[in-house]
Amino acid sequence: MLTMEGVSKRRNTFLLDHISIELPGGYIMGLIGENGAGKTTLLELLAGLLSADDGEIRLDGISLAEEEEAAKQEIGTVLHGDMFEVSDTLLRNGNRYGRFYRNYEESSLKERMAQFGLSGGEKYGRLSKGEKLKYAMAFALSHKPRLLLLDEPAANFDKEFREIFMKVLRDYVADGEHSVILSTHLTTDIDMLADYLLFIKGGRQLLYGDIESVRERYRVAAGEEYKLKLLKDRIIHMESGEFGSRALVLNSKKPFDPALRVWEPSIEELMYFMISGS
Amino acid sequence: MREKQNWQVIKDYFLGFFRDFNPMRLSLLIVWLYLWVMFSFGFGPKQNWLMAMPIPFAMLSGIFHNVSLPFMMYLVPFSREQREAYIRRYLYVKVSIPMLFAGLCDIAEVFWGHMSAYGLVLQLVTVFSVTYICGILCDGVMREAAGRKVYGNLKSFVGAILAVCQICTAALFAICMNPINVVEFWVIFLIEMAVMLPILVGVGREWKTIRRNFADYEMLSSM
Repeated sequence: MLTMEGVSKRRNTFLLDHISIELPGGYIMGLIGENGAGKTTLLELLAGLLSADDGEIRLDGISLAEEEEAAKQEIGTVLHGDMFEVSDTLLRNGNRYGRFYRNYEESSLKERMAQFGLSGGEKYGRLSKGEKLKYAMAFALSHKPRLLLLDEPAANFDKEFREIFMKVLRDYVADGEHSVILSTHLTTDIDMLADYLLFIKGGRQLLYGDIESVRERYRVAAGEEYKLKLLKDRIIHMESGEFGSRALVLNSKKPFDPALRVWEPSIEELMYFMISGS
Repeated sequence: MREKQNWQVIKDYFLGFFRDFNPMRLSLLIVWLYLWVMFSFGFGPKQNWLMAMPIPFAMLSGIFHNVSLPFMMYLVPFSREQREAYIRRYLYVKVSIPMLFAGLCDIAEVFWGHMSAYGLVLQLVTVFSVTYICGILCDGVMREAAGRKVYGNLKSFVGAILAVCQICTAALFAICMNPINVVEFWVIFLIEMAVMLPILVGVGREWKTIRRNFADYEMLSSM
C-alpha cells in the first residue's frame, strides 16, 4: 500500500537519510525515535507538506510527488498545533476543508465527533490540546483515507479516551484496506497497537519490519560481563552495573552460554538499547 | 466546477476577516473604527459617511487577508499549481470586493451630489492600489526577517512599500473627503500615479514568484 524508497530530506543541518519502508494495507506501523530523530519530518513528507530531495513515496502506486492531488485524497493527517480555523466551529471547519476530499461526508464527521465527545457547534479555538487532536482525528476519519498519519496523539488523551482511540484504530485497519502510521514516544502504544515498527535515530533508519520479526532479530542477554563480552560482534550495546551486565545482542542460531539469562526484548528495551548504542 | 471554486474563494474571503483574530488584528480594527468615526462624523453624518467607508475598508481588507493559506490548505488534496491558482483567485477577490464596495458607495454619493466624478476616480484608483499592493504583500510572515525570502526581489522593500502605500492612502482618504476641482484632480492624480505606478508595476512583476513561494509550505516553514 505505502512504499518509501530511499527517501531523503535535508532541512538546515538535519538530514533524514534514505528511509525505505513498505507498509501493506490493514496494518498499524509504530514510528519511534527520540526527540529530533526526524519523526515529524517523515510524517510531513508523507502528508505532502514537504517534498523529498531524493527517493520516492508511493501510495497504492500513486507517486506523491507526481500526482499530489490524487495521493492526498487517500491521506488523513493528525498533527499538533492549530490545524483548523480557530474562530470557526468544528462543523463549519469540517465542511470547509472536507469539500476537497471526494469521500468526505458530513454525517460521518458528526458521528465521529459524537463518539469522541465533541460538539459540532463548538469553536475550534476553544478546544483543549487533547480535544484539538480528537477533532483532527474525527476529521481525518470522516474523509476515509487509506492511510492515516498520527503524530504522537495518545500522550494528550485521557485514560478513557485512550481506550476508544485504540479501538477506533483497530477497527479502522480491520478491513485490510486501511493503514495507520502512529508516531509515538509511548512504547506501550506500540506494544498494544502496532504490527510494524520503524525506528529512526538522528534521521537514520535503524529498524524496520513487522514487530515479531524485529523482536526475533534481537535478544537481551544478562549475566557476567566477561561472558557477555564473548559475544563480541553480536553486541549492539552493553552496559555494566554493580549487579552484572546487560546487552542487546543479535540473535542467531548459535546458542547462548547457559549461564546467561536471555530473553526476547520488549519494544521499550529495544528502544532503550538502540538509543544508548552508537 | 470552476464557478463553484470561485464562489468558495469569495466565501473564504469573508471568513478571512475572522481568521486568526488575534490582539494585533483587534487593535487594527479599533484604530479603523476610531478613524471612521472621527472622519465620517467629523465631516457630518448626513453627507460623508458613505464616502468615508471605501478606503478604510480596502485597507482593512488588505491587512486582514494573508497571502499565505490556512494550514489545512497545504494538507488538502491540492497540488502546488492548484494552491497557486487559489492564491491568484483570492487576490482577484481581495481587489474586486473592495472595488465593488467603493464603486457602489461612490456612485450613490455622486448621485446624491455629495461627491464629484473626480473624487470617484481618485477613490477607485486608491482602493485598487491599496488592495492590490496589500493583497500581494501583507502577510504575518513579513514580520520575520528570514521570511522575506518569499517576496523574491522585493524582500528588502516590503516594509517601505507598505509604509508608502499607507501614507498615500491616508492622504488620499483625507483629500477625497473634500470637493475637488479639475486642476486639483489632475495634480493629485499625477502625484499619486508618480508614487504608486512604479510600486504597482514592481509588485506586479514579482507577483508570480511571490504566489509560487506562498503556495509552497516548505518555503514558508523553513524560515
